[in-house]
Amino acid sequence: MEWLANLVESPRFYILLRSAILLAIGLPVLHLLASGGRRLAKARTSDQAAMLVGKGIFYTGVLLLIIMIMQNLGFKLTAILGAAGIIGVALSFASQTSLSNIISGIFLIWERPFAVGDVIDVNGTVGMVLSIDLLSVKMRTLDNRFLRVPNETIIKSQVITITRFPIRRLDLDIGVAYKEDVDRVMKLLVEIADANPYSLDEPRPLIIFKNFGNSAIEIMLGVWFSKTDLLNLRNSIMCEIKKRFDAEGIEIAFPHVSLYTGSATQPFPVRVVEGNAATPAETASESS
Amino acid sequence: MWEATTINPGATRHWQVGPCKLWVRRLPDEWQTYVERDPDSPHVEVWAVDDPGPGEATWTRFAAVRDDHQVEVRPQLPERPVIVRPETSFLFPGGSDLTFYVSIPLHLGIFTGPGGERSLGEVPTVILSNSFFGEPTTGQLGFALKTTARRDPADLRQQPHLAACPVHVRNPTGVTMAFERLCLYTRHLAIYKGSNRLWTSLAEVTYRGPTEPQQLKYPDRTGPEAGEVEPWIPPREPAPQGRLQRQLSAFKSFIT
Repeated sequence: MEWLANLVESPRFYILLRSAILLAIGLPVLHLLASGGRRLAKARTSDQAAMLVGKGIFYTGVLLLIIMIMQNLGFKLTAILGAAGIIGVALSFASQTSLSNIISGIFLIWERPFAVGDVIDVNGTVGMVLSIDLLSVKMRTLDNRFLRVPNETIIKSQVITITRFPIRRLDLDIGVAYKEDVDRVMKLLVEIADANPYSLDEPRPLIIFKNFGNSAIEIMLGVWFSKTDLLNLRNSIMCEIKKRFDAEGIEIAFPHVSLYTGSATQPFPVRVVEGNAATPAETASESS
Repeated sequence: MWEATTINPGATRHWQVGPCKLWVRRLPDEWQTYVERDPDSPHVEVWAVDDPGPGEATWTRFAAVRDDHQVEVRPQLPERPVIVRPETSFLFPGGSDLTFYVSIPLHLGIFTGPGGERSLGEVPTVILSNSFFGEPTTGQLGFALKTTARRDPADLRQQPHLAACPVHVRNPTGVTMAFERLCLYTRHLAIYKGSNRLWTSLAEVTYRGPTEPQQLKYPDRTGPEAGEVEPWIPPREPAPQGRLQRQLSAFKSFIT
């Protein structure tokens, strides 16, 4: 019991006790504060911003708690802070990419160009956003692969948020033979779009005479649809166009080359040579 | 007409509401449903007759509670808004008020269990095209109605799969309003049984000027032209009172 009495009388015991109490009270309070901040931020902003606020509160609190405990234990903070400064500079040089990603992540969360669940196109790779973290954005590609894109890459690249707006337009390039009546073809295309249940009747389908192509008259049909109906619309309208064109006798053009001899109206001249023309076999034997 | 009916194991019951034909079959451990649409028979109204239904068709199957043999088919309004045009676009002078009437194709909700507590889903009597109301970035997806809004309820088609919706529009401002399209939030409308047709509750819209949002109200009653009616199906979602819609006034149309 004497050792216990000595321990209680020792000033170091009280210092340790105070530090333990600080830690025991500080950590749960920080958890509570972080969780409250997260809830408050979630009600007003996005999930990502709420996560950032929660982590910010917790780690700042932990830093303050460590400083308080070290001060309580009698460490000289000026020396520690000086050393921390030097270590910080060294670390920042060593972790430039990570820091850049973290800062990019903060900008992404702040700017909110997309949210979890959106389908985005980053440098030609399309996928659904699974999470937006401090270092990277995690995605699931359309063929079910996991993709991690560093935040810095996202900030530097052109990103298309495909599902941002409630409706989209599907542009179909259709080539028909030059012999076809263009007005009739355009009218048919609008009829096909109007009859398709996935095509929105408003905004109206867009139809553009695009070009006199090499092998076809090129027409663009732009059909508006709800952002969730892309595959249904694409499959159904393509089939309908083919069936309807077949039924109406409209030729869908394919790439071909026409040879002319200087005039479109003249037939290609063919000259038949009569007499002792050498056969290819004879010509070959003579040359050898 | 729409009462609950009992289907014993092995039996199939058939409903037809306008162009929509519905079969419900009871097997020992499951319910099966099948739907067909016949646009050439919009007036037909057949209720709960025994009919084995098409044999080769692919039926939708639901697990069933063993002692549950009761089925109820109830009309419902589409969950998405419906978008309708007037017969012709016209201008609404300031200080005027008008009532339009719109025919809304119903959905059929299939319910089983005591009090219809278990849903086997709902089927639209008519497949409507998708449409959109408002700006491409912020607007509202809905169904396009093939029929137009009418000034006289007698001009509406009287068919068993359609409910008549009165829309009362007021323009107390001094500004003329152009009316081209109308977007009806059907999920806030109730269904009433009239003497010879189904009615929905009244939709009221007050125009407040080209830059101000319109005020929308969905009172718990239908229009006086419906005559004696009996409240029947409540709205899917109660309407927020005094709702304002700002974004649509720029489109020379209004939303209710």
